[in-house]
Amino acid sequence: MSARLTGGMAWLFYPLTAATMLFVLAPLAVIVAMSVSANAFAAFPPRGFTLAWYGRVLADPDFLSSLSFSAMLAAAATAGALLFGLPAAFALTRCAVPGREALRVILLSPLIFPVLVVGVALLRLFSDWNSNSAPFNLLIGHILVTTPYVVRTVTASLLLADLSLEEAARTLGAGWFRVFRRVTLPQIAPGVAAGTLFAFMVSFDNYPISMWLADAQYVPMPMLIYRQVASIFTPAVPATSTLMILFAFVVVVLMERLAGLRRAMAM
Amino acid sequence: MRRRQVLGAALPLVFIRGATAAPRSIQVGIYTAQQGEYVRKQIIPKFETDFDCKVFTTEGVTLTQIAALRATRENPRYSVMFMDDIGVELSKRESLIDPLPADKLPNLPGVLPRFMFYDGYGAAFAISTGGIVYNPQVTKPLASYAELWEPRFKQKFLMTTPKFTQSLYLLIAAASLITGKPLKEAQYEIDSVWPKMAELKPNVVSTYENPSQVMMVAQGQVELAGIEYSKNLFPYTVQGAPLDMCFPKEGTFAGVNCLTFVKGGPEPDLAAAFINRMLEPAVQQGLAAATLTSPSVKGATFAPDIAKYIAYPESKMNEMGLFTADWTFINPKRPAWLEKYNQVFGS
Amino acid sequence: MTATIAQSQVFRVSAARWVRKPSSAVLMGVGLALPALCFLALFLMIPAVRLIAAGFLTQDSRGALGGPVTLSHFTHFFATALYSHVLVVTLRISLWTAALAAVLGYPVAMVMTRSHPAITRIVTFITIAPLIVSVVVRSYGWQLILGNGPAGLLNYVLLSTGVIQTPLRLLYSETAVVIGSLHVFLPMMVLPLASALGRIEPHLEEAARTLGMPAWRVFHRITLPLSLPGLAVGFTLVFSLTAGSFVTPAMLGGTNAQMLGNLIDQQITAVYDWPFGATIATVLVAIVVSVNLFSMRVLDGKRRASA
Repeated sequence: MSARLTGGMAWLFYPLTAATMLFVLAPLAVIVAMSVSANAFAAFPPRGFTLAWYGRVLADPDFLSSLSFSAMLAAAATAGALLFGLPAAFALTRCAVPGREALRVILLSPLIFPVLVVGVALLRLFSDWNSNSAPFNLLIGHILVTTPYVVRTVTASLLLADLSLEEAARTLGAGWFRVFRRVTLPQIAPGVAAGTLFAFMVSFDNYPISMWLADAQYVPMPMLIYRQVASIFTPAVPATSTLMILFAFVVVVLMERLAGLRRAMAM
Repeated sequence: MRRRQVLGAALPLVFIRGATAAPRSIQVGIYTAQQGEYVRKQIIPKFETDFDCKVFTTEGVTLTQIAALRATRENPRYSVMFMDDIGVELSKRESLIDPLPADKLPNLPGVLPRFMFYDGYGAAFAISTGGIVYNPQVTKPLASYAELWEPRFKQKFLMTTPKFTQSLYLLIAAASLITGKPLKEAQYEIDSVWPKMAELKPNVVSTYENPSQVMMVAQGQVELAGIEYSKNLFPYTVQGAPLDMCFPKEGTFAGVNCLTFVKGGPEPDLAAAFINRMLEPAVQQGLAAATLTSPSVKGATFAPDIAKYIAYPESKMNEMGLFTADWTFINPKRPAWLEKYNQVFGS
Repeated sequence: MTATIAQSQVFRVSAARWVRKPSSAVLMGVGLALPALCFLALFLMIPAVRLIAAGFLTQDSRGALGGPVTLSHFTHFFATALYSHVLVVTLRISLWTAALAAVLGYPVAMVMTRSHPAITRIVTFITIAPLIVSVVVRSYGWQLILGNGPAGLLNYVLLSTGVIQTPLRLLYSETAVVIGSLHVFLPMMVLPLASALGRIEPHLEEAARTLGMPAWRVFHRITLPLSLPGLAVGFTLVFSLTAGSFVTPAMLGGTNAQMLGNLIDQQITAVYDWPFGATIATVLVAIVVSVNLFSMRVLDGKRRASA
């Protein structure tokens, strides 16, 4: 169990955190307020109160198909990011691979490249290869931009993991997989959990890549929202965003249940 | 023949023609907002039934659509692309599109001659008008573009981003102001317009890309926005927002949405049939009424409450001074002018 | 006992410790990294090299790239005051955003890792939830809050409580972009930091306290240094992401806070000057890579120093 914040530190950190939380919530509160407005257009301050817009959004087939597509894409991209990123993080921190610095730069480079440019470059690439399947192209693009997050967070965790425990386990005769599963993995759980959460969320809200690689049948949420905002900006758009916040809540709770995020972080 | 899904399982079907063959399909690039929705929900389903095919659409603005065409030049994915007249010039020059196959388009002769572009490479299907957005409850409509420069609008003008075609209209209007020439001639004098644009800077609060930002005019945060297209604005007006558009005396800019035939695109016959469908009188009438844009064909009629928003028929267009620019002259100069725009209006 | 644990907590260059024979460890390392490397080489490296190369080529009127090889795009970039100015603005906004993210994010991360589970859950959710809300919609929310004039929400609150007399001009300024970017990228600081903080062995701090160290000293001498990797990760991440962004600067900064991302966006979508767009992208990448390398150097230096 990590030490609880007490004394002078608590007096300093709790109020600061509360203020930051208010900062984070402010525009979200505005958005939620706009979503219940009875106006024909999204305006602030809202006039009247109605939940009708939510009904309209939930009944919209475009919204539902977009939501499920984005969720599946994000899940698949996260799986891909873990598949590539976890071993890579290990290679970076545990093995004396020559040219580690260069390797690290390469692995983290998708974060460095302007996403807009990556999107167009991928479009060109897929076109040259005659790869016309939008879900496939989107998956590649999303794995590309989410893997670095996994690598980063897992590397940070690995650096802090206690190697002597692993050594002890090995000298006691445990095979490398057993050591990994029983000793290493629990220690890096926060890094893996954080990376997974990041990857999912980043993929879900990714606009610059999706913009170039999506097509008519496969419309990720950010594009749907952008399209609606550019169209007529009714309270349906803030309603959609509020539903997204609820969705985020569900995802975070799920992560907690499955990966013990809270427990791992609070230790 | 051309299009294969990478993940698809179509391989064995290739050898079994006929019964199990997938229906023909084309990809079309359409516009966003209400017009896009109308095309998707009203025009396409009927076309799909009539021709037993699937039409897949991607929505976008002219520039992203052209960027997509450029990126897929070697293996074109699209068969038909909607774009502004400015894009037709660009695409023709870069060999991205072919001339419209007139022999397969029986409805083509119905299009007004002024709406055929660049030797038959583009045919208009919807025209909006470009002007200045204002709040009729707060501001009087502008009689002349010169009023835009007046001190009473200090920090009250939201300007369209130089990324969009409309920004070029503003330059042409400014050129007309300083030279005193009509828009048609003034457009060749844009290079001298920058000192005048610099004078506009105090009035410009910012640039915007998203049409929904016109709501700032309705909410009183700015007084004027533009130059904007009627098709983006009038849907708000019709719904009761305190927004309207004015067309100063120098002239009304035409936002022309065109149909083009992608070079080397899949299913050319189906593509031609789709273009033909878009030009059908009944479709033109329905589209115009629903999206408050002018049709490009002769002989459409509208109820008075819709007609007031539309520049139609041709006599009204002439009255309004509907103006399309010489894009052949302007397009090559665009990169330099974009830079000047940034320099003049940047911090 | 304490000494051993303390020693194990100190950073080590892990290359020094493995149990297998060196050559098989290298092989395993290469094998582990290979899938990711191939993936990236194929889908990022090749397009990236093509992009950087494009900055040195010429584009003809058809839009095709080819010879002659030229430095004209780069000289144009550095010779024109506009672009140097945008470069400076980008750096300034990105550094401010990253710094503020560190200052605001640290308490949040501390609270996340050292509180009652219920508080942790709430803080985690509030921090992460915005990630899933479209950046366009969020920026719109900020536009309404930071609106200039008495109608802006913030101004309304401050004016009616008498904190200020005249409305603040926040919207369409660099400050607004920093605020908006901070809002978007704060989770990118908090989560790596929390991950690092959560793994600090509590016995260390407890031991120091029982030895009589005041709480702030414990923080300063033990917690802060041990959380440095997380802090560095967060800082460079927020910096990199802010430097390449274009939606928030467009909506909250307008003409007064144009960033390199906006210029690239213009070049690619409006004028399709691929070489010049590539030039700007290369400059952006160079900046971000430098900052990343610098922070990695500093981090490794600290790590080796305390080994």
